[in-house]
Amino acid sequence: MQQYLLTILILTPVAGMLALVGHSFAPYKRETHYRWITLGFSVITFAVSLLLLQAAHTNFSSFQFEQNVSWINAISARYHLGVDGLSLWLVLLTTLLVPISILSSWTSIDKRELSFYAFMLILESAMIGVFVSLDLLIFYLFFEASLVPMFFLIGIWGGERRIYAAVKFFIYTAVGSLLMLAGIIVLYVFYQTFDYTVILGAMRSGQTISALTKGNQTLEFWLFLAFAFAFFIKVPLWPFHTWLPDAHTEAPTAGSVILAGILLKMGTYGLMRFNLTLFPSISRIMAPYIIILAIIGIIYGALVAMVQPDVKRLVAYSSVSHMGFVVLGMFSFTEWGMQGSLYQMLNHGVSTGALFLIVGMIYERRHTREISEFGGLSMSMPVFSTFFVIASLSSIGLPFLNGFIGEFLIMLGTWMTEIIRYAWIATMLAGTGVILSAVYLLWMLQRVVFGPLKNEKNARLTDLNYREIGLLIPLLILMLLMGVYPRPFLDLSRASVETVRSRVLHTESGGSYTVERLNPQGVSPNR
Amino acid sequence: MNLSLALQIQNVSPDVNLLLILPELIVCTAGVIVMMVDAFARPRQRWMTGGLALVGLVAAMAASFWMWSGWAGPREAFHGMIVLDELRLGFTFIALLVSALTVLVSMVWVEGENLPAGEFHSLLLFATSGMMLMASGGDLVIIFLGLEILSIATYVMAGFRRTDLRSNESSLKYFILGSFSSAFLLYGIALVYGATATRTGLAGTTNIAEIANRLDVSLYPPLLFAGAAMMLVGFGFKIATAPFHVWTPDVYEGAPTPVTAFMAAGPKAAGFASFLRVFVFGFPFVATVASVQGQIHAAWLGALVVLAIITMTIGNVGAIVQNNVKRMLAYSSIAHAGYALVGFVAAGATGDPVFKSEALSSVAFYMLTYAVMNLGAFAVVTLIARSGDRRTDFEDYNGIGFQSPGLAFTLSLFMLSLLGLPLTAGFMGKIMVFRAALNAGYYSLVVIAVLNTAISAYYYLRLIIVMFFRERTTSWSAPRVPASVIVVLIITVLGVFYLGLFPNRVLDAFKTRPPAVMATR
Amino acid sequence: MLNLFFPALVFIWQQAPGGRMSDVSNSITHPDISKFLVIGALLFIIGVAGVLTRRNIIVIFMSIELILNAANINFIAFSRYLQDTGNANAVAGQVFTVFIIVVAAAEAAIGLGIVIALYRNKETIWVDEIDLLKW
Repeated sequence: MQQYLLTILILTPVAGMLALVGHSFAPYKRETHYRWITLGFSVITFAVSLLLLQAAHTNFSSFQFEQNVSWINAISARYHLGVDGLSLWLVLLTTLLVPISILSSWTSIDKRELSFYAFMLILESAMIGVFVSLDLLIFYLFFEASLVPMFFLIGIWGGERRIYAAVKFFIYTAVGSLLMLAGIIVLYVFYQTFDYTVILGAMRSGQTISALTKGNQTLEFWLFLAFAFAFFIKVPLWPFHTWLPDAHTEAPTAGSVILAGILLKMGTYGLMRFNLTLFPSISRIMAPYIIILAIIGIIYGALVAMVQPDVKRLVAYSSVSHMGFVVLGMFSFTEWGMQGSLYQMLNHGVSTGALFLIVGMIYERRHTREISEFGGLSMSMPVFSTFFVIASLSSIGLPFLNGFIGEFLIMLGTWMTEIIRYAWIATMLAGTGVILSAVYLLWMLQRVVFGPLKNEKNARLTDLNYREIGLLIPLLILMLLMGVYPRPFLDLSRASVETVRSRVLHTESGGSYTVERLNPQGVSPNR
Repeated sequence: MNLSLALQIQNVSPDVNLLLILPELIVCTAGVIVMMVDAFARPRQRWMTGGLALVGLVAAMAASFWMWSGWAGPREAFHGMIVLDELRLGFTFIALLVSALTVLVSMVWVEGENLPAGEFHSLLLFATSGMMLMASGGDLVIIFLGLEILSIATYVMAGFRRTDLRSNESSLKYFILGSFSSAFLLYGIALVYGATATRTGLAGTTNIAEIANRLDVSLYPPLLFAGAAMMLVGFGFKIATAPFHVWTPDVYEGAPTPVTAFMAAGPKAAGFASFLRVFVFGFPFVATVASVQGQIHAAWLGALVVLAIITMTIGNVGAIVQNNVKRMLAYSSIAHAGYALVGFVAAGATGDPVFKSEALSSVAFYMLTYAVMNLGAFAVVTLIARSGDRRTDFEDYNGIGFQSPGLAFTLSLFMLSLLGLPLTAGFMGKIMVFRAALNAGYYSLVVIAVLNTAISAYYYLRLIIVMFFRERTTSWSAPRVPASVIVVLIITVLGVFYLGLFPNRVLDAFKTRPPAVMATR
Repeated sequence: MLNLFFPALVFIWQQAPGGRMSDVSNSITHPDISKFLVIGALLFIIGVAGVLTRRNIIVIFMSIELILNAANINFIAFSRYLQDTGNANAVAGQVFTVFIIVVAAAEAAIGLGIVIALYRNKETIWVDEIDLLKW
């Protein structure tokens, strides 16, 4: 049971998809049945994923729930799954956000429901697969597989410019991941296996790529780029971000939630899992440049968000800014920074997900997202406004809400990093991003929620119903919980993050996957 | 002297082993039976011909499976004219599969178009036997005869809709360029035949294994080079590699759609089978570069690398600008020939039997995946084109996604598989081919192939976009899907997933089991 | 690809008769294999040129036949000149020629059939006018 848990987790949504298709042949079918079936299966998936927490006593310092069987003998590809502290919370985030986004589509999706829900379920199983695969080929397989349902979700149920957005999304990410595929096959040629843990073991025992190519770092450099390019596009790091505003804006609400909440995390997760551990020395060399890009992204995203007339586009650009924080923290190579980076991934999923849901709700009522159309919603929709404000504050990083912890940890890590010369400048610049995020979000709140009720149409809007409140409540609880009591989250990821950190900083000493409790002082104890 | 020669011939045992050509015999016999039934049956009973053809193909498949699993006898017969190895069996399987699926696709179509069903099916069976002979021939004579049997039947099939000018034109173009390339090939064979006469006094030979032995003792080495080049051009035309691809789009567009499906998958695979056998086994890798064999090997391998690059690029770039789905698929078939050539290069570049067997099986596997997804795609295109093949433009697919969701989703699946997305057969085929090439050290070739895959995303997605993301402006009535086509779609969809997820068995079957047995016999 | 053809051209050039008249007459009365090869090569070149330049379908067919016959001449010449007594394979070239003749006949029949079918729909035998499908 233990070793099949992850497979069950991947296959449950697929089973749901088959049930949907099967139901479409039933004589008594109704369009409304589909969403119930989908909701049922996604809740079951969430329940199953909670079982992962029973291994909490191990602190996830090594891979848990491993399943490792041969898949294709001819190329010694393996079906190798497992979770550790890096992937655990991302898996849970996925299984949580999917039922919520399905609930959010309850009434907004009124055409082609069968296909919509089927694509959602396929997407869920692909996303879970990305986070739990430990074989590079399987990882690539899920990474690409997540692309297709999203392409359909944007293209069929999206807004006016959906075709443009869908194609842009597909081509950008496909080009990146194809380069990664080339990189994966080159790794295979060197190590004759796709298994991540085996390759890592070989590298630890001295058979690094530069050693295999007789001290030449060129190939390793290109491999790093091949992987990084795929992930940078997915994150998206400035200047690879241009697909994101279009895709987010045109996607249906559920699509935006999934896209921002989970698909972007695939990029940062991939960077942390593969780039840092497989190519540690190149990661150290490249870190300053990547940090520069991340900081540019933080400030650029915030500035552009400020001038957006469209609420959804504003939230989309805020994603660019927030994901910049994630990358920044990761490449500081300090414990605080990397923990904060992982934590910020969850925060972003929760709070940006909530923001997209809220924007979707108002769009469903007014069929517009122009900021200038709104104003004074707090009078007509008090409940809605409360949620909107809390979610925005969480995104800004107000203390006692989740965003604060993540951004604080990242800035702390950046301050203490030794990987770049003038770390304090980087921290200052990143701090500007926090301030700017307060500016654009509060300004937007002021124009949308507060102020006088200028527009007649806004006066007659109905407030949130129980379904909408119900789907926002879990996110709200998470925001508060993660804001006041982050320890359980950080504890379970600490060991794994430390493994990555010691791997990337002390390549030669290895950094085995069993790690003693470390001192929380960051890079060097004598600092 | 003549007397002694006659005596000599009498003394040689005939070396006939009919069991070794059992699948070919079955298919030929089925073809004759179908023709007879067609001639003597009442018009009402002519539908039987499709069923009979299927029975013959399935029987031949059973025979080839039997040879695959339980063959204990000699692995060549007719003095090396027919050989039995995994290369042959793999491509025989592809030929039979393609043919059976084509029969299923065309069963109702041929009635609906008022075409003579019996003739069509018997021609198809003869073409299949030609393809099988191309795969099994260990001698240039057999390969040439197989090629001609295949080609002549296919010329007729391309022009099968006699009253349709496009079909006529397609057939004529195919005929001119096909027979032209056959003539090239033949001239090349003639030169190789003469050049393989040895300095030690042996006469020339057309046996492929024997050719490999004689390269370094050849009487006229220069003719050997010219012969190899001519054969390269001849085969290049057959499998539509890039400078020799110009006929492909026209012929594929004009031919009746089921025939196009057949042509894109079957003859191309058969062409690869004999192309591989002639060059990989006839002019094999040798470590000493300075010898004649080394030089000729280096020359054809270099030419092939260039051909692969041009073919992929022209195929993909050409497909982008097409407005006709059949033309787009034609260019895509050119591109896929280019990907398969990447595996071919890998097979040619190594002398190690294990690597060579892996590379050969990767090409065979690639052609199998291509055949499956391509036939599936063309089956849907046939249905949507309706009678007379009138609706094959992209506009005709506008917004049909949710009007005929079954067809549209299966077609999208095939497009994604042709694109090479994971979980599908196309992905696995590409992985195999690329890995073989990287093992042989062709890094830049693989990078070019990967970039080409990225280009191809554009036009494969375009069909999906047209079907799902656009609204239909004109009226649309869903085509009736005959049961036989449903069978085809089920087989191909399952095949796409089976080959994409669990390719183990097929890959093992395509690989030479004891590496020593294959060698060059 | 040109590097594959080049040695053959040099070879054929070297086989051409020398300057002296007696050599020429000798080569006519006792031709060696190179003469046949040269004739084959000429036929081949004429055939290829015909296919590429002519616009009449029938002439194109005839040019293709020329190429096939070029191959036939080569086969027979090689078979006749290079046979060894101990090997049954020596006649392979002549047998191959018989096959080619049969195949050529079949091909010609099919080709003419296709032309007739085309002519019924569109009364032309000029390839320039057969342009429904763009080249």
